[in-house]
Amino acid sequence: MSGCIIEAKRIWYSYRLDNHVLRDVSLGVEPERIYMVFGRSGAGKTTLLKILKGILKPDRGDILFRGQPLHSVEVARAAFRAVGYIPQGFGVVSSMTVLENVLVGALSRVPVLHSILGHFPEEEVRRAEDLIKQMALEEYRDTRVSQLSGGQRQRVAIARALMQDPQVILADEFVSQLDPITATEVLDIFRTLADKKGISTVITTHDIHLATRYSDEVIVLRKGAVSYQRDGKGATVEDIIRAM
Amino acid sequence: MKWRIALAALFVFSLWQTGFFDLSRLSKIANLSPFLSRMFPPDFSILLQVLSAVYETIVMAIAGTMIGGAVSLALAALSARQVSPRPVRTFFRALLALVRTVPAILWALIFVVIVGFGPLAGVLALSLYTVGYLGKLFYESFDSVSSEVLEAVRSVGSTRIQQLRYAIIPESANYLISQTLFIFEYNVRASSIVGLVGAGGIGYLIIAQVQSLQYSGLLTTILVLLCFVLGLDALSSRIRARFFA
Repeated sequence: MSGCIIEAKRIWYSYRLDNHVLRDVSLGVEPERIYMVFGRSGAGKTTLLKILKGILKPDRGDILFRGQPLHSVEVARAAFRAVGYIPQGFGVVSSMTVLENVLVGALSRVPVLHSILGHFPEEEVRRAEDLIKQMALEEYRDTRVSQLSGGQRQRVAIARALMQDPQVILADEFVSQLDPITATEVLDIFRTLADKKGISTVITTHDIHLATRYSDEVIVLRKGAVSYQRDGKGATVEDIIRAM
Repeated sequence: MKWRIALAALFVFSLWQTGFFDLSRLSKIANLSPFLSRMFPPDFSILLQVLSAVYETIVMAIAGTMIGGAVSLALAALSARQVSPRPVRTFFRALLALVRTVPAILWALIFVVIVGFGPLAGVLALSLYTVGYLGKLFYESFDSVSSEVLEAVRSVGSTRIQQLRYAIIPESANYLISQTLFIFEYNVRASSIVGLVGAGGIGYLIIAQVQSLQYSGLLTTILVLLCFVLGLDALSSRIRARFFA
Protein backbone atom coordinates (compact mmCIF):
# COMPACT_ATOMS: atom_id res chain seq x y z
CA MET A 1 0.00 0.00 0.00
CA SER A 2 2.90 2.37 -0.68
CA GLY A 3 2.05 5.76 -2.21
CA CYS A 4 -1.27 5.90 -0.40
CA ILE A 5 -2.80 9.29 0.26
CA ILE A 6 -4.69 7.99 3.24
CA GLU A 7 -4.48 4.56 4.76
CA ALA A 8 -6.46 2.71 7.40
CA LYS A 9 -4.39 0.06 9.17
CA ARG A 10 -6.10 -2.70 11.16
CA ILE A 11 -8.93 -0.48 12.34
CA TRP A 12 -11.35 -1.52 15.06
CA TYR A 13 -14.29 0.62 16.06
CA SER A 14 -17.34 0.24 18.29
CA TYR A 15 -20.12 2.64 19.23
CA ARG A 16 -20.92 0.47 22.26
CA LEU A 17 -18.73 -1.84 24.28
CA ASP A 18 -18.27 -5.34 22.78
CA ASN A 19 -20.19 -4.43 19.66
CA HIS A 20 -17.58 -3.84 17.00
CA VAL A 21 -18.81 -2.06 13.91
CA LEU A 22 -15.40 -2.38 12.27
CA ARG A 23 -13.09 -5.33 12.87
CA ASP A 24 -9.50 -5.26 11.77
CA VAL A 25 -10.20 -3.29 8.58
CA SER A 26 -7.33 -2.11 6.40
CA LEU A 27 -7.68 0.03 3.30
CA GLY A 28 -5.18 2.16 1.39
CA VAL A 29 -6.38 4.94 -0.91
CA GLU A 30 -3.96 5.56 -3.77
CA PRO A 31 -4.12 8.50 -6.18
CA GLU A 32 -6.22 8.44 -9.38
CA ARG A 33 -8.47 5.59 -8.30
CA ILE A 34 -12.12 4.98 -7.59
CA TYR A 35 -12.90 2.66 -4.68
CA MET A 36 -16.35 1.22 -4.18
CA VAL A 37 -17.35 -0.13 -0.79
CA PHE A 38 -20.29 -2.53 -0.58
CA GLY A 39 -22.05 -4.15 2.32
CA ARG A 40 -25.47 -4.64 3.80
CA SER A 41 -26.98 -1.94 6.01
CA GLY A 42 -25.04 -1.86 9.25
CA ALA A 43 -21.95 -3.50 7.73
CA GLY A 44 -19.81 -0.50 8.77
CA LYS A 45 -19.49 1.41 5.47
CA THR A 46 -20.40 4.85 6.83
CA THR A 47 -18.27 4.30 9.94
CA LEU A 48 -15.28 3.43 7.74
CA LEU A 49 -15.68 6.67 5.77
CA LYS A 50 -16.04 8.73 8.96
CA ILE A 51 -12.85 7.18 10.32
CA LEU A 52 -10.97 7.86 7.07
CA LYS A 53 -12.20 11.45 7.23
CA GLY A 54 -11.17 11.84 10.86
CA ILE A 55 -14.69 12.49 12.17
CA LEU A 56 -14.43 9.34 14.32
CA LYS A 57 -11.32 8.08 16.09
CA PRO A 58 -10.66 4.32 15.84
CA ASP A 59 -10.54 2.26 19.05
CA ARG A 60 -7.55 0.37 17.70
CA GLY A 61 -5.39 0.69 14.60
CA ASP A 62 -3.90 3.67 12.80
CA ILE A 63 -4.83 6.15 10.12
CA LEU A 64 -1.87 7.32 8.08
CA PHE A 65 -1.74 10.39 5.86
CA ARG A 66 1.02 10.21 3.27
CA GLY A 67 2.62 7.52 5.42
CA GLN A 68 2.51 9.54 8.65
CA PRO A 69 0.23 8.71 11.58
CA LEU A 70 -2.23 11.43 12.59
CA HIS A 71 -0.64 11.91 15.99
CA SER A 72 0.60 15.45 15.42
CA VAL A 73 -1.86 18.32 15.02
CA GLU A 74 -0.22 19.43 11.75
CA VAL A 75 -0.56 16.02 10.08
CA ALA A 76 -4.12 15.60 11.36
CA ARG A 77 -5.04 19.05 10.05
CA ALA A 78 -3.38 18.43 6.67
CA ALA A 79 -5.24 15.10 6.38
CA PHE A 80 -8.54 16.71 7.36
CA ARG A 81 -8.15 19.29 4.60
CA ALA A 82 -6.94 16.81 2.00
CA VAL A 83 -9.95 14.56 2.41
CA GLY A 84 -13.33 15.82 1.22
CA TYR A 85 -16.45 14.24 2.66
CA ILE A 86 -19.95 14.08 1.23
CA PRO A 87 -22.47 12.57 3.68
CA GLN A 88 -25.42 10.42 2.68
CA GLY A 89 -27.91 13.28 2.29
CA PHE A 90 -25.17 15.39 0.59
CA GLY A 91 -25.09 17.88 3.53
CA VAL A 92 -25.94 20.86 1.35
CA VAL A 93 -27.63 23.83 3.03
CA SER A 94 -30.97 24.14 1.31
CA SER A 95 -31.66 27.76 2.24
CA MET A 96 -28.37 28.95 0.68
CA THR A 97 -27.66 29.45 -3.01
CA VAL A 98 -25.52 27.14 -5.12
CA LEU A 99 -22.64 29.65 -5.05
CA GLU A 100 -22.81 30.05 -1.26
CA ASN A 101 -22.81 26.27 -0.79
CA VAL A 102 -19.78 25.84 -3.03
CA LEU A 103 -17.93 28.67 -1.27
CA VAL A 104 -18.33 26.75 2.00
CA GLY A 105 -15.55 24.53 0.64
CA ALA A 106 -13.14 27.48 0.89
CA LEU A 107 -13.88 28.32 4.54
CA SER A 108 -10.59 26.99 5.89
CA ARG A 109 -8.66 29.36 3.58
CA VAL A 110 -10.66 32.53 4.24
CA PRO A 111 -10.15 34.72 7.34
CA VAL A 112 -12.95 33.97 9.80
CA LEU A 113 -14.23 37.55 10.08
CA HIS A 114 -14.40 37.95 6.28
CA SER A 115 -16.26 34.68 5.88
CA ILE A 116 -18.73 35.61 8.64
CA LEU A 117 -19.52 38.81 6.75
CA GLY A 118 -19.87 36.80 3.55
CA HIS A 119 -16.81 38.40 1.94
CA PHE A 120 -14.83 35.85 -0.05
CA PRO A 121 -11.73 36.82 -2.06
CA GLU A 122 -12.32 37.34 -5.80
CA GLU A 123 -10.17 34.35 -6.71
CA GLU A 124 -12.23 32.05 -4.47
CA VAL A 125 -15.46 33.30 -6.03
CA ARG A 126 -14.01 32.78 -9.54
CA ARG A 127 -12.92 29.29 -8.60
CA ALA A 128 -16.36 28.47 -7.20
CA GLU A 129 -17.93 29.77 -10.41
CA ASP A 130 -15.58 27.58 -12.49
CA LEU A 131 -16.58 24.52 -10.47
CA ILE A 132 -20.26 25.40 -10.81
CA LYS A 133 -19.68 25.58 -14.57
CA GLN A 134 -17.86 22.25 -14.60
CA MET A 135 -20.85 20.71 -12.83
CA ALA A 136 -23.17 22.24 -15.47
CA LEU A 137 -24.95 24.31 -12.84
CA GLU A 138 -24.09 27.81 -14.09
CA GLU A 139 -27.71 28.77 -14.69
CA TYR A 140 -28.45 27.91 -11.04
CA ARG A 141 -25.57 29.93 -9.55
CA ASP A 142 -27.89 32.14 -7.49
CA THR A 143 -30.69 29.61 -7.02
CA ARG A 144 -31.46 28.25 -3.58
CA VAL A 145 -30.48 24.62 -3.29
CA SER A 146 -33.98 23.78 -1.99
CA GLN A 147 -35.22 24.40 -5.54
CA LEU A 148 -32.83 21.91 -7.18
CA SER A 149 -33.36 18.25 -8.06
CA GLY A 150 -31.55 15.43 -6.26
CA GLY A 151 -28.96 15.06 -9.04
CA GLN A 152 -28.27 18.79 -9.08
CA ARG A 153 -27.84 18.88 -5.30
CA GLN A 154 -25.39 16.05 -5.62
CA ARG A 155 -23.33 18.05 -8.10
CA VAL A 156 -23.41 21.02 -5.69
CA ALA A 157 -21.99 18.68 -3.03
CA ILE A 158 -19.24 17.54 -5.41
CA ALA A 159 -18.37 21.15 -6.29
CA ARG A 160 -18.21 22.05 -2.59
CA ALA A 161 -15.92 19.08 -1.91
CA LEU A 162 -13.70 20.08 -4.86
CA MET A 163 -13.57 23.67 -3.62
CA GLN A 164 -11.78 22.27 -0.59
CA ASP A 165 -8.99 21.22 -2.97
CA PRO A 166 -8.99 17.59 -1.82
CA GLN A 167 -6.79 14.68 -2.82
CA VAL A 168 -9.50 12.19 -1.89
CA ILE A 169 -13.29 12.49 -1.82
CA LEU A 170 -15.31 10.20 0.43
CA ALA A 171 -18.92 9.89 -0.72
CA ASP A 172 -21.44 8.02 1.40
CA GLU A 173 -24.27 6.18 -0.45
CA PHE A 174 -23.70 8.57 -3.26
CA VAL A 175 -25.40 7.02 -6.26
CA SER A 176 -27.85 4.77 -4.47
CA GLN A 177 -30.68 7.33 -4.52
CA LEU A 178 -30.31 8.32 -8.18
CA ASP A 179 -31.88 7.08 -11.37
CA PRO A 180 -29.42 5.10 -13.54
CA ILE A 181 -28.76 7.94 -16.02
CA THR A 182 -27.99 10.55 -13.35
CA ALA A 183 -25.92 8.00 -11.43
CA THR A 184 -23.87 7.35 -14.58
CA GLU A 185 -23.35 11.11 -15.06
CA VAL A 186 -22.15 11.50 -11.47
CA LEU A 187 -19.78 8.55 -11.73
CA ASP A 188 -18.45 10.00 -15.02
CA ILE A 189 -17.54 13.12 -13.07
CA PHE A 190 -15.59 11.06 -10.53
CA ARG A 191 -13.87 9.13 -13.33
CA THR A 192 -12.77 12.39 -14.96
CA LEU A 193 -11.55 13.74 -11.60
CA ALA A 194 -9.48 10.60 -11.04
CA ASP A 195 -8.04 10.50 -14.58
CA LYS A 196 -7.36 14.21 -15.12
CA LYS A 197 -6.75 15.58 -11.63
CA GLY A 198 -5.61 12.50 -9.75
CA ILE A 199 -8.39 12.91 -7.16
CA SER A 200 -9.38 9.54 -5.74
CA THR A 201 -12.86 8.71 -4.60
CA VAL A 202 -14.17 6.22 -2.06
CA ILE A 203 -17.87 5.61 -2.60
CA THR A 204 -20.18 3.43 -0.56
CA THR A 205 -23.11 2.14 -2.56
CA HIS A 206 -25.62 -0.63 -3.10
CA ASP A 207 -25.61 -0.38 -6.89
CA ILE A 208 -23.38 -3.31 -7.79
CA HIS A 209 -23.89 -3.20 -11.57
CA LEU A 210 -22.84 0.43 -11.93
CA ALA A 211 -20.05 0.03 -9.43
CA THR A 212 -18.33 -2.82 -11.22
CA ARG A 213 -18.24 -0.66 -14.36
CA TYR A 214 -16.61 2.33 -12.69
CA SER A 215 -14.53 1.05 -9.81
CA ASP A 216 -10.79 0.47 -9.82
CA GLU A 217 -11.10 -1.45 -6.60
CA VAL A 218 -14.01 -3.16 -4.90
CA ILE A 219 -14.23 -3.75 -1.15
CA VAL A 220 -17.03 -5.67 0.51
CA LEU A 221 -17.68 -5.35 4.23
CA ARG A 222 -19.57 -8.02 6.10
CA LYS A 223 -20.35 -7.50 9.78
CA GLY A 224 -17.58 -4.95 10.03
CA ALA A 225 -14.82 -7.01 8.43
CA VAL A 226 -13.47 -6.97 4.88
CA SER A 227 -14.90 -10.07 3.23
CA TYR A 228 -13.82 -9.32 -0.34
CA GLN A 229 -11.30 -6.97 -1.94
CA ARG A 230 -10.38 -7.04 -5.60
CA ASP A 231 -9.56 -4.74 -8.51
CA GLY A 232 -12.64 -3.48 -10.31
CA LYS A 233 -12.07 -5.36 -13.54
CA GLY A 234 -11.75 -8.70 -11.82
CA ALA A 235 -14.76 -8.26 -9.52
CA THR A 236 -17.99 -9.90 -10.56
CA VAL A 237 -21.50 -9.16 -9.42
CA GLU A 238 -21.89 -12.76 -8.21
CA ASP A 239 -18.73 -12.60 -6.10
CA ILE A 240 -19.78 -9.31 -4.53
CA ILE A 241 -23.25 -10.59 -3.68
CA ARG A 242 -21.78 -13.75 -2.23
CA ALA A 243 -19.34 -11.74 -0.10
CA MET A 244 -22.07 -9.48 1.29
CA MET B 1 -58.48 3.92 29.57
CA LYS B 2 -57.04 4.56 33.06
CA TRP B 3 -55.14 7.65 31.95
CA ARG B 4 -58.28 9.08 30.32
CA ILE B 5 -60.20 8.75 33.60
CA ALA B 6 -57.24 10.27 35.47
CA LEU B 7 -57.12 13.18 33.00
CA ALA B 8 -60.87 13.78 33.30
CA ALA B 9 -60.60 13.65 37.10
CA LEU B 10 -57.73 16.13 37.03
CA PHE B 11 -59.78 18.46 34.83
CA VAL B 12 -62.84 18.35 37.12
CA PHE B 13 -60.62 18.81 40.19
CA SER B 14 -58.98 21.90 38.69
CA LEU B 15 -62.41 23.40 37.86
CA TRP B 16 -63.61 22.74 41.40
CA GLN B 17 -60.46 24.26 42.94
CA THR B 18 -60.90 27.42 40.90
CA GLY B 19 -64.54 27.93 41.89
CA PHE B 20 -66.33 26.79 38.71
CA PHE B 21 -68.99 24.91 40.67
CA ASP B 22 -69.75 27.76 43.07
CA LEU B 23 -73.12 28.88 41.66
CA SER B 24 -73.45 31.74 44.16
CA ARG B 25 -70.90 33.61 42.07
CA LEU B 26 -73.36 33.81 39.19
CA SER B 27 -75.46 36.20 41.27
CA LYS B 28 -72.95 38.92 40.36
CA ILE B 29 -73.60 38.52 36.64
CA ALA B 30 -76.04 41.40 36.88
CA ASN B 31 -73.03 43.73 37.33
CA LEU B 32 -72.14 43.11 33.71
CA SER B 33 -75.16 44.93 32.37
CA PRO B 34 -74.33 48.49 33.61
CA PHE B 35 -70.70 47.93 32.66
CA LEU B 36 -71.63 46.99 29.07
CA SER B 37 -74.28 49.68 28.78
CA ARG B 38 -71.73 52.35 29.65
CA MET B 39 -69.44 51.04 26.89
CA PHE B 40 -71.96 51.75 24.15
CA PRO B 41 -71.81 53.62 21.93
CA PRO B 42 -68.04 53.72 21.48
CA ASP B 43 -66.52 57.17 21.82
CA PHE B 44 -64.83 57.89 18.49
CA SER B 45 -63.88 61.43 19.53
CA ILE B 46 -60.74 59.94 21.12
CA LEU B 47 -59.73 58.07 17.96
CA LEU B 48 -56.61 60.18 17.38
CA GLN B 49 -55.47 59.61 20.94
CA VAL B 50 -56.03 55.85 20.52
CA LEU B 51 -54.18 55.75 17.19
CA SER B 52 -51.28 57.60 18.77
CA ALA B 53 -51.15 54.98 21.57
CA VAL B 54 -51.35 52.16 19.01
CA TYR B 55 -48.47 53.75 17.10
CA GLU B 56 -46.44 53.85 20.32
CA THR B 57 -47.32 50.19 20.94
CA ILE B 58 -46.14 49.15 17.46
CA VAL B 59 -42.89 51.05 17.85
CA MET B 60 -42.34 49.47 21.27
CA ALA B 61 -43.04 45.98 19.92
CA ILE B 62 -40.72 46.46 16.90
CA ALA B 63 -37.87 47.82 19.03
CA GLY B 64 -38.36 45.19 21.76
CA THR B 65 -38.48 42.34 19.26
CA MET B 66 -35.43 43.52 17.31
CA ILE B 67 -33.24 44.21 20.34
CA GLY B 68 -34.41 41.01 22.02
CA GLY B 69 -34.02 39.00 18.80
CA ALA B 70 -30.43 40.12 18.27
CA VAL B 71 -29.45 39.40 21.87
CA SER B 72 -31.29 36.06 21.69
CA LEU B 73 -29.28 35.01 18.64
CA ALA B 74 -26.00 35.64 20.46
CA LEU B 75 -27.13 33.95 23.69
CA ALA B 76 -28.63 31.02 21.79
CA ALA B 77 -25.30 30.45 20.03
CA LEU B 78 -23.59 30.41 23.42
CA SER B 79 -26.23 27.96 24.70
CA ALA B 80 -26.21 25.60 21.71
CA ARG B 81 -24.78 22.11 22.03
CA GLN B 82 -23.26 22.28 18.54
CA VAL B 83 -21.37 25.51 19.24
CA SER B 84 -20.47 25.89 22.90
CA PRO B 85 -18.68 23.60 25.34
CA ARG B 86 -20.79 22.21 28.19
CA PRO B 87 -19.83 24.65 31.02
CA VAL B 88 -20.44 27.69 28.80
CA ARG B 89 -23.79 26.49 27.52
CA THR B 90 -24.93 25.41 31.01
CA PHE B 91 -24.25 28.92 32.29
CA PHE B 92 -26.07 30.66 29.44
CA ARG B 93 -29.02 28.25 29.54
CA ALA B 94 -29.41 29.00 33.25
CA LEU B 95 -29.19 32.73 32.50
CA LEU B 96 -31.96 32.43 29.89
CA ALA B 97 -34.08 30.45 32.34
CA LEU B 98 -33.62 33.20 34.91
CA VAL B 99 -34.65 35.91 32.41
CA ARG B 100 -37.67 33.81 31.41
CA THR B 101 -38.78 33.29 35.00
CA VAL B 102 -39.49 37.00 35.50
CA PRO B 103 -42.85 37.96 33.88
CA ALA B 104 -42.98 40.87 31.42
CA ILE B 105 -45.02 43.03 33.80
CA LEU B 106 -42.37 42.67 36.51
CA TRP B 107 -39.62 43.61 34.05
CA ALA B 108 -41.75 46.64 33.17
CA LEU B 109 -42.03 47.61 36.84
CA ILE B 110 -38.27 47.27 37.27
CA PHE B 111 -37.55 49.44 34.23
CA VAL B 112 -40.16 52.03 35.22
CA VAL B 113 -38.20 52.34 38.47
CA ILE B 114 -34.90 52.63 36.55
CA VAL B 115 -35.79 54.86 33.57
CA GLY B 116 -39.18 56.28 34.63
CA PHE B 117 -42.64 56.10 33.02
CA GLY B 118 -42.95 55.86 29.25
CA PRO B 119 -42.22 53.66 26.25
CA LEU B 120 -38.48 53.26 26.95
CA ALA B 121 -39.28 51.18 30.03
CA GLY B 122 -41.70 49.17 27.88
CA VAL B 123 -39.13 48.51 25.17
CA LEU B 124 -36.55 47.35 27.70
CA ALA B 125 -39.10 45.07 29.40
CA LEU B 126 -40.21 43.57 26.07
CA SER B 127 -36.58 43.10 25.01
CA LEU B 128 -35.78 41.06 28.10
CA TYR B 129 -38.98 39.09 27.82
CA THR B 130 -38.11 38.35 24.17
CA VAL B 131 -34.59 37.25 25.14
CA GLY B 132 -35.95 34.77 27.68
CA TYR B 133 -38.23 33.04 25.19
CA LEU B 134 -36.51 33.49 21.83
CA GLY B 135 -33.16 32.55 23.35
CA LYS B 136 -34.55 29.17 24.39
CA LEU B 137 -36.45 28.58 21.13
CA PHE B 138 -33.38 29.54 19.09
CA TYR B 139 -30.93 27.26 20.89
CA GLU B 140 -33.37 24.36 20.70
CA SER B 141 -33.60 24.99 16.97
CA PHE B 142 -29.79 25.12 16.69
CA ASP B 143 -29.54 21.82 18.53
CA SER B 144 -31.88 20.13 16.10
CA VAL B 145 -29.95 21.05 12.94
CA SER B 146 -29.22 17.98 10.81
CA SER B 147 -25.94 16.45 11.92
CA GLU B 148 -25.20 15.63 8.28
CA VAL B 149 -25.19 19.27 7.20
CA LEU B 150 -23.06 20.18 10.17
CA GLU B 151 -20.65 17.32 9.47
CA ALA B 152 -20.37 18.39 5.85
CA VAL B 153 -19.55 22.00 6.76
CA ARG B 154 -17.25 20.89 9.58
CA SER B 155 -15.46 18.52 7.21
CA VAL B 156 -14.08 21.40 5.11
CA GLY B 157 -12.03 22.51 8.11
CA SER B 158 -14.30 25.36 9.22
CA THR B 159 -14.28 26.92 12.68
CA ARG B 160 -17.25 26.74 15.07
CA ILE B 161 -18.30 30.30 14.32
CA GLN B 162 -18.16 29.54 10.58
CA GLN B 163 -20.29 26.44 11.21
CA LEU B 164 -22.78 28.67 13.01
CA ARG B 165 -22.86 31.11 10.08
CA TYR B 166 -22.88 28.57 7.24
CA ALA B 167 -24.76 25.58 8.64
CA ILE B 168 -26.62 26.19 11.87
CA ILE B 169 -28.23 29.58 11.23
CA PRO B 170 -29.16 28.96 7.56
CA GLU B 171 -30.58 25.55 8.40
CA SER B 172 -32.67 27.05 11.23
CA ALA B 173 -33.54 30.24 9.32
CA ASN B 174 -37.19 29.42 8.61
CA TYR B 175 -37.84 28.50 12.21
CA LEU B 176 -36.01 31.60 13.49
CA ILE B 177 -38.10 33.87 11.26
CA SER B 178 -41.31 32.10 12.22
CA GLN B 179 -40.59 32.35 15.95
CA THR B 180 -39.53 35.99 15.67
CA LEU B 181 -42.81 36.82 13.92
CA PHE B 182 -44.69 34.98 16.64
CA ILE B 183 -42.92 36.83 19.43
CA PHE B 184 -43.53 40.15 17.60
CA GLU B 185 -47.27 39.43 17.57
CA TYR B 186 -47.00 38.46 21.21
CA ASN B 187 -45.07 41.63 22.05
CA VAL B 188 -47.83 43.76 20.53
CA ARG B 189 -50.26 42.19 22.98
CA ALA B 190 -47.71 42.19 25.81
CA SER B 191 -47.02 45.89 25.30
CA SER B 192 -50.66 46.49 26.34
CA ILE B 193 -49.92 44.65 29.57
CA VAL B 194 -46.62 46.37 30.35
CA GLY B 195 -48.41 49.65 29.71
CA LEU B 196 -50.61 48.92 32.72
CA VAL B 197 -47.69 49.75 35.02
CA GLY B 198 -46.85 52.94 33.17
CA ALA B 199 -44.44 51.58 30.59
CA GLY B 200 -46.13 53.39 27.69
CA GLY B 201 -48.22 52.16 24.77
CA ILE B 202 -51.90 51.33 24.58
CA GLY B 203 -51.90 49.62 27.99
CA TYR B 204 -51.15 52.98 29.58
CA LEU B 205 -54.22 54.42 27.85
CA ILE B 206 -56.39 51.42 28.83
CA ILE B 207 -55.56 51.70 32.51
CA ALA B 208 -56.20 55.46 32.42
CA GLN B 209 -59.62 54.84 30.82
CA VAL B 210 -60.53 52.15 33.37
CA GLN B 211 -59.50 54.28 36.31
CA SER B 212 -61.49 57.30 35.05
CA LEU B 213 -64.51 55.07 34.18
CA GLN B 214 -64.38 56.07 30.47
CA TYR B 215 -65.86 52.78 29.28
CA SER B 216 -67.03 54.09 25.89
CA GLY B 217 -63.48 55.24 25.23
CA LEU B 218 -62.27 51.82 26.40
CA LEU B 219 -64.49 50.12 23.80
CA THR B 220 -63.03 52.36 21.07
CA THR B 221 -59.54 51.41 22.20
CA ILE B 222 -60.40 47.70 22.17
CA LEU B 223 -61.95 47.94 18.68
CA VAL B 224 -58.92 49.75 17.27
CA LEU B 225 -56.62 47.23 18.91
CA LEU B 226 -58.70 44.38 17.45
CA CYS B 227 -58.42 45.87 13.92
CA PHE B 228 -54.70 46.26 14.37
CA VAL B 229 -54.20 42.69 15.66
CA LEU B 230 -56.24 41.28 12.74
CA GLY B 231 -54.14 43.32 10.30
CA LEU B 232 -50.98 42.07 11.96
CA ASP B 233 -52.17 38.45 11.70
CA ALA B 234 -52.85 38.92 7.99
CA LEU B 235 -49.43 40.51 7.45
CA SER B 236 -47.55 37.78 9.29
CA SER B 237 -49.51 35.11 7.37
CA ARG B 238 -48.33 36.71 4.13
CA ILE B 239 -44.73 36.85 5.35
CA ARG B 240 -44.88 33.19 6.41
CA ALA B 241 -46.43 32.20 3.09
CA ARG B 242 -43.63 33.97 1.27
CA PHE B 243 -40.80 32.43 3.28
CA PHE B 244 -42.21 28.98 3.86
CA ALA B 245 -44.10 28.26 0.64
